[in-house]
Amino acid sequence: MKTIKLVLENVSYVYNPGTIYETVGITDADLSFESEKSYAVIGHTGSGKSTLLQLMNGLLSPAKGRVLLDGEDVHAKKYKIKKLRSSVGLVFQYPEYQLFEETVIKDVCFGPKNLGYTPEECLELAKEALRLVGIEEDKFDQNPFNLSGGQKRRVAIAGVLAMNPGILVLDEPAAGLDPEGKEQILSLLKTLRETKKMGIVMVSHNMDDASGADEVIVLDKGSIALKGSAREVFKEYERLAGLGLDVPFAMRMTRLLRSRGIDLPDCFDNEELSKALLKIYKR
Amino acid sequence: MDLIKAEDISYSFKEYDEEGNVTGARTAVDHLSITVPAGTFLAVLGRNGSGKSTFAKHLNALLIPQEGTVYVDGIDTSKAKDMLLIRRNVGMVFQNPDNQIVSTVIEEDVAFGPENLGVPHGELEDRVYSSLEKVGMSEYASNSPTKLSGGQKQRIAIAGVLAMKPKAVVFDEATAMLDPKGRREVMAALKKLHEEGITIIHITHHMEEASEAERVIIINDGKVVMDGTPQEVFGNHAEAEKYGLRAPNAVLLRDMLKDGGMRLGEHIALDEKELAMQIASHLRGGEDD
Amino acid sequence: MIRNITLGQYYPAKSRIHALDPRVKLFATFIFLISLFVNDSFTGYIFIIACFGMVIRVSRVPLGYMIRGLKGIIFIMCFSVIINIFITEGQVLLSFWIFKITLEGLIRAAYFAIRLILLILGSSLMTYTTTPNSLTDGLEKSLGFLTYLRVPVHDFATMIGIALRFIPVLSEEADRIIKAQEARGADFTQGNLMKRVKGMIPLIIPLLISAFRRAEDLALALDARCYNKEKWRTKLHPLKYSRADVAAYILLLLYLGTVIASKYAFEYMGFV
Repeated sequence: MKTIKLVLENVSYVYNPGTIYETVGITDADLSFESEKSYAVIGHTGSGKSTLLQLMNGLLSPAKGRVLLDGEDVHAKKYKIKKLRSSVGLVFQYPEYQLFEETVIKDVCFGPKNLGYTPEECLELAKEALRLVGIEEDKFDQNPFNLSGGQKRRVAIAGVLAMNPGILVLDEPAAGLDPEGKEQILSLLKTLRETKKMGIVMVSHNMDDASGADEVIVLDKGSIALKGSAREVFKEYERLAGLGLDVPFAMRMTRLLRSRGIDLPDCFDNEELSKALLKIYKR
Repeated sequence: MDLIKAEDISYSFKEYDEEGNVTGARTAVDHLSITVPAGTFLAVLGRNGSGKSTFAKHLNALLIPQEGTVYVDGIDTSKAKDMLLIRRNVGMVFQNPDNQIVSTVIEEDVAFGPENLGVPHGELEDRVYSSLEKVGMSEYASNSPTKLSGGQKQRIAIAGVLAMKPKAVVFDEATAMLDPKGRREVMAALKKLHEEGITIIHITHHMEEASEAERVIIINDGKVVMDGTPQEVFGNHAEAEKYGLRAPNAVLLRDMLKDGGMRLGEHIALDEKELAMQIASHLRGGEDD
Repeated sequence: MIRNITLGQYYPAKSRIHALDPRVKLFATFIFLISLFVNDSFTGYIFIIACFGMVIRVSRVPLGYMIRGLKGIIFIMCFSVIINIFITEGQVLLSFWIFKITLEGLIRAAYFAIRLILLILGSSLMTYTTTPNSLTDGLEKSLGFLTYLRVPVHDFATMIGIALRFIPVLSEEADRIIKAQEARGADFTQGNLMKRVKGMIPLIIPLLISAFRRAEDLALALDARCYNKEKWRTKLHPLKYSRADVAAYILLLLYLGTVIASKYAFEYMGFV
């Protein structure tokens, strides 16, 4: 996999500028994303998350500021946008709704084919991607519409993985799945990062899922409200609550217990919290 | 009184090959029996494909069981002449907010059900506006539904069901496509209906939502495999996990503490407030609450 | 995309025309069309345009807005005007190669253009001043008599209503699918016609599948909300005629009477 770095430099985007429908998409975003790292983007519907994702993939071009892939401006005249599309893979919400081919394998080949790979290379890439997402070979020639919901979702993700991106961006990849389906997707993302050194950028509404990321980015009304390690960001309980956002369960518990007079350090997940509590208990 | 009574019902879907020949059948509901007393808040859990939705569609005669009988308020759902009565009594809110709003104007959408039932004019208006009021959407009455958020659209759908004055409302994964804010909005509306005495059947993947119910059932392979209070069902989460479920975080933390030797009371706290209270009183005073 | 079409889209304003019963407006459009086809004199057109102009004034829909809506049909209009100019026999004004332009041809083309423009402006004025919803109600009520001929008028009205409701939903969905496929490297703007048509498959198939899925969901939702064939159905806002509506009907009949009478009067007096 290629190691890449995507930088958003002071990027702004406005929808329908100059009309009565003018709305802010993103304002002055300074962000940087790298392979091998994981990022969680949180914020309400309408906070600018989907604008941000589309800017990262070149589907929108910024009104102000630059998007740089390994130092190159992706909206410069000579730049081939397909280079960005293949480096930064974007998986939309409910990606299974974009499936269209007669067979699973053909659908996954669509991306690499568009990038100009030979049919043999496409097939190789597609097989590798399907293997990664855990779709077995006997399903390759099946009609994707006959698969289960969770399988369809994974085939759609494979469709983007087959383009061999260095960073994978996903908009709520677990939305609407049952707990098992959700776990499968989350563990897939973990594998991609650990074994394939892929950068993972995930929009999530679930703070417990977001807390696993190296960096958490909180958006509000198009601006970056908070940014930092999960520990740093989720410490700002009041600030997040003001934005109508939550913190992970263990941190909520920690706060509640402190307010009941129990002296606890900042606990981030159930394991930390139970250890701290048991320490107090045994004292 | 039992509002809903399913007696040994089964339903299977035919499977077809590419040419459209029947190749087999997939059983979705398999000899399932359950009774739901009037006024209950029941949560239905189970993995995708477990048959929950197929079961739900039997509750208002959208599907008629191939074997067994479903009674709604004492009426057999297979009797076609009573179908409208059954559907009026058991309303349904579906998963996709967009695919259940039929009109380009919100108030007219809410009126759709009672219009179909021939509710006379003065009462019709009362029902529409009081239903919108109940879900907090009055100010949008004459707007188009297009610009609404998912949570708002679902509240419109709930108002549309309420305007039929139902005895029960089935929420068929009605929160699955919503963000946390939308989910909270729908749950608030749902609880309000329950307080008014309407029977609630809530199908969901969110354990936190299910823990607010009075009774939880788990469906697996078309059968009811667990049935009890949320404490009973989630307290036995090793069993629940076999059916693809995960216990709420509070239950998991409680187990970790118990495994570590902390002796918490018998009561199983389902949310953080309850659990924090339990732990705090235990750590400070040593007394089990 | 579909959203950019302004022709026929409701223009929200408070005017006497907006407030009329949709049945009156449907009738008015019908009368207007008849008058266009009955009339064949220049003076008649002046009368028609004057009346129509007044109605536009009263409707408070800006004329510029209406004319902009005509953009979409310019091509068809030019095409038919040119055909009319060249195929009409008569007094030759100009000729080159195998083409000749006749006086009659010019007059006919001019009449044709005026007729077409008025026809489109007239019917679009109805949709500019009537919400899709009340238009469907008006149609359902006006065509209600067809129920006795076993035409499922209410079902059709429901279908139209649902179609209107889902136009923005599906156009948003189309946008989303286009973006998702572009993210997979698809390019909907390059290549020759054949290639572009083929390139649309990744958009059209998911869109169709989504439409079917929605239709299925919707069918269930209609059933769950007691949609039925009985005649007892009531309406939240039943259509009711007001005095203005009656006045409008009278004016419309007077208008049509004038157009027809003047046609015969001119013929009698020897004008054409």
